[in-house]
Amino acid sequence: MRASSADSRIAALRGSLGPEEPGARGLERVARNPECMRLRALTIVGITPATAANRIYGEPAREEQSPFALALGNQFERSLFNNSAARSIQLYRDAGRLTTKECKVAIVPDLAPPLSSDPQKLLASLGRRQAETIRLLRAKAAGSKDAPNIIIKPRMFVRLLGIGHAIEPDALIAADADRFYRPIEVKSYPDRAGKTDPADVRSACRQAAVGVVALREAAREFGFRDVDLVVPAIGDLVLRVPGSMTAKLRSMTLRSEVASLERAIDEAPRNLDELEAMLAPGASLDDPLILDQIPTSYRTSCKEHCALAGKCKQQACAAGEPAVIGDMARELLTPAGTVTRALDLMNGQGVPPRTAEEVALAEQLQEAFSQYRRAV
Amino acid sequence: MDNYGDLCKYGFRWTFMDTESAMSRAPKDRLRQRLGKISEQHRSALESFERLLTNSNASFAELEAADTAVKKISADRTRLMEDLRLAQFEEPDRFGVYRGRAGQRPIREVVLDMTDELGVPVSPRLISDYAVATLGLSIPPTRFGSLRRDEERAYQRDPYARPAWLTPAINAAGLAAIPRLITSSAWEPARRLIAARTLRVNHLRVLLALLKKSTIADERVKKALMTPILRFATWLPVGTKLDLDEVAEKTNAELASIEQEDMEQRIAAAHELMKLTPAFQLWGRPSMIEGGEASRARAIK
Repeated sequence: MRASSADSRIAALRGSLGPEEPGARGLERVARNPECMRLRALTIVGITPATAANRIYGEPAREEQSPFALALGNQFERSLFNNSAARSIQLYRDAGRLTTKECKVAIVPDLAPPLSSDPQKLLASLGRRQAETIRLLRAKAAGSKDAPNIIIKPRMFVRLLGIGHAIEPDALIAADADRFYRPIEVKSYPDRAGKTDPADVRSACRQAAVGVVALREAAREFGFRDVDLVVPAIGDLVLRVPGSMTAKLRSMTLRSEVASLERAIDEAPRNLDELEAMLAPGASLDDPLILDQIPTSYRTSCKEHCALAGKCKQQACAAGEPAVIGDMARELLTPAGTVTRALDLMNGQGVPPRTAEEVALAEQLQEAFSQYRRAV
Repeated sequence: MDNYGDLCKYGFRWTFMDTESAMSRAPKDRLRQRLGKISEQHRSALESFERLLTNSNASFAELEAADTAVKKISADRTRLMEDLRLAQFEEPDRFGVYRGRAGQRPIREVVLDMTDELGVPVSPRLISDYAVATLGLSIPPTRFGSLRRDEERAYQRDPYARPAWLTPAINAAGLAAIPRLITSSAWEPARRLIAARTLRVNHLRVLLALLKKSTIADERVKKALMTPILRFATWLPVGTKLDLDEVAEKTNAELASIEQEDMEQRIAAAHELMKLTPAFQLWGRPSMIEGGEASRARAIK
């Protein structure tokens, strides 16, 4: 009942735009910048930032991945999952995680009819994938010896406001002795150990964390009580050995990623109430003027994951937000609120400092500026 | 006005049609014509450059501009040559005429033979690679979708029209079709079924079939089969020298450890399969979300 009422509220907020599946990437995006109300609002109502940029603001979407990166990623994934996932099995055997007898593989897209451009056939095919995934997960939950050790491209759900948002993790893995699965995230990034690009690792970990959240929800549905123990906050990253297509396995602890994601999901109902209170009755987010009213929290890292980053940066510049200078300035100049006010404090102009924090900031800025003048 | 009246009455003149057909010549001819023009431009640009060189009053800027013009035309010529190379490749006579398989065995029979040689349900991609390696025959994996649909339609018209059909593998859980794996209807039901361990068992069986083929094949085929063998023997590090006997020994050892359980599961599922109608036995039960699964899906959603 609650889900359906939330559903109609969300549909009203979406206006003329159709619903979109945010997927694991969309959900992890929210956890990256939990303070951005606009991003949360769009995710809750099922509009991707790319669609918002393109269809609401009429700007060209800049969210596409590089075709070269896509091709490499697809090729790497195929090398792992083709031939009955033989390379994946070998990878886990080499790591001592699977024995010779633990060789059961289920490829979910193969168990359903191929995806079709006909919406009805497409829905049927996706429904079949979902049903097959549930069957396989249930077998594992029941302790069946025939439950697969590797499930490729399962179709699972993360509940947000009582509505399931579909995600398809790259794969799930469990030895026969394990009680349930853990997610595998395949990325074609070269594994340079400590020198791997932190942004790449962060993004992969967050996507794996979405898989952990979905597995915990499924485990709860199957009657597990200690879901945190059954599905620990651990995911496997499969990266590429630099200069080759050989895979390298790394188990990652995802405690903070899972916690931030679960927090973001838990806060969603409150966000929906807040969102409706913020807007005029009957207003919908497909109107650029309405969307502009929802506050953002621009960060320099937004351009890594959000198609609206350019738009938010323009607004942040117009408002004189310190975030446009960088994340360090955003933290340092918080007492001033804007760059203009910070300049006034530094130059001793305008309204005198109103709070103790502003006094401290003014002294800090004046000291830094005098050192700068001495040096230059 | 007269011309317009004639056009309305009689249509275009034949001479006009000739001109039209000349204009829509093959891309190769158009490219050759453009190359001829470019060549003339190149020659005249070079002459201008040479004239400037001999002229002591010509500035360096003038020389540089003339040199740039020569380079630009040269770049255009290179691009056109690349286009011509592509046009050459795209011509039918380059790879033989269209319908090049006329008079040869139908593709479905070739695929059935190869599926029999490999002995287990296999993917279109593997059959395609195997056809190239053993017969030097190109069967694009994308053709298999329509091939399978044609087979099913032909079966529906007359189930006894052919001795064997190209059928999909059947999932042991639920007995629905797995369209991406190809089998032969002549096989016993257990062989067409896919249970929990079957994908791995079949992987090892294909590897053994490739090894067997490589021992009896000629040098060319043997060499061509090394690539799929290396791809299937995943435990071998990249660049390792291939010892076929060692690969066979290891494959047999792994197969022995899992085959029994797999066979038991498939035989049990085969009993269930035999209870279905003959069409469902070959093409699988229709894909549908069973009641329990559907309610579960709704609950989760």
